[in-house]
Amino acid sequence: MNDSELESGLARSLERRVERVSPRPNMEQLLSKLERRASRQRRLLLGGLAGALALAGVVGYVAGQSDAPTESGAVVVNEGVPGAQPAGPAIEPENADAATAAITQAFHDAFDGGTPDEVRRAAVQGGPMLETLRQETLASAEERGFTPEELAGISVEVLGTTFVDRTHAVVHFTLSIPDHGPVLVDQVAYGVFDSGRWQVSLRTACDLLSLSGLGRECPPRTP
Amino acid sequence: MEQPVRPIPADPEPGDADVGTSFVELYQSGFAPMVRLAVTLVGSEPAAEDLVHDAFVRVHAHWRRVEHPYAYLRTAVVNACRSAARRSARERAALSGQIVDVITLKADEMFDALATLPYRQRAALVLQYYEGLSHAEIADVLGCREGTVASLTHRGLAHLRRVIDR
Repeated sequence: MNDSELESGLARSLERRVERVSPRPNMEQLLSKLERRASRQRRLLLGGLAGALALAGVVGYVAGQSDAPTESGAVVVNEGVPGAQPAGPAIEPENADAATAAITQAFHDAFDGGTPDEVRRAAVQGGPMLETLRQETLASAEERGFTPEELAGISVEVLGTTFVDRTHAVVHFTLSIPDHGPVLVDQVAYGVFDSGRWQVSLRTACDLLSLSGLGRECPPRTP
Repeated sequence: MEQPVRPIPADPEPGDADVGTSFVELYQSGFAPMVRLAVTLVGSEPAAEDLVHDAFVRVHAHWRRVEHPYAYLRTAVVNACRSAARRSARERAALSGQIVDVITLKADEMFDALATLPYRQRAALVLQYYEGLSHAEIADVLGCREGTVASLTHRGLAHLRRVIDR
């Protein structure tokens, strides 16, 4: 086998090995990994701050014991602490504050009990096609003992938003029902910029509406 | 008001998805080719998908400083595969040969022989003969000099020839 045959044989072998490999992007798996990384960063930040505060306490104690008075009682808690900088969103829309507010509003519109149907549908990606599933979910909830008044009083609290890029965000939220308190605590969901506005992602809405075990097929997995 | 992402080809040539690309665009267009690249380096498709996702997380963390996202992503994938290869080698050593090595499968003699190469030789060959990169581009990915790439590919091909001619 000469050099040329060896090289072309190698190229053919590599092509043959992957010719049937046709993976599809799995945005949820990616978002899940991004979220885990963000959580690690948050823990690192908290650990760094705790360490800095402890160090500041020791320094303050030692300074208090010394004969030389300090000029100021102020303590800079994050100076020189490795890893104490928050990771922050790596990518975000130009006006991140406005986008965050729009995402928060979308989650309220989508899940708060008293929202008019038209507003609710507009707040969810693919909202109109989920209406039947939503009605069935509410009916199922009533069968399981929740009153219409309680369901009308459902409220959502958005705990935090982290942008994945200009058009996608990871959202932490808690859902509460009157007289039952928080029923879904610190859940991870996704916001998406679609049709000219921020919306609750189709996958998020679909998963939440399916929590009652209706087992309907949701639309294709796309946040 | 933000604009929706622009449509992009499903499977671009390396370098197509570059400056101006959003992260999600890069993910949608770059996932499949990067998984194929990772499969040539680690052999297993599920492992390759996981490693490529890890590489995307790394790209995301450095997004603002990345000038050429596709090239950065490819380097991240190659590095992730190298780490996986190291872990795999350690695990094999710990198990003292209790698992069947891919070279015994003989499904594709050339690919199986490739799997026996040291990682950098394997990566250099894959980047040249699968990705079609120049020695200069391979040197960027592997973080070495062009002369080193020439040496890696020469030794890698020589090893393959010995195995094939055996």
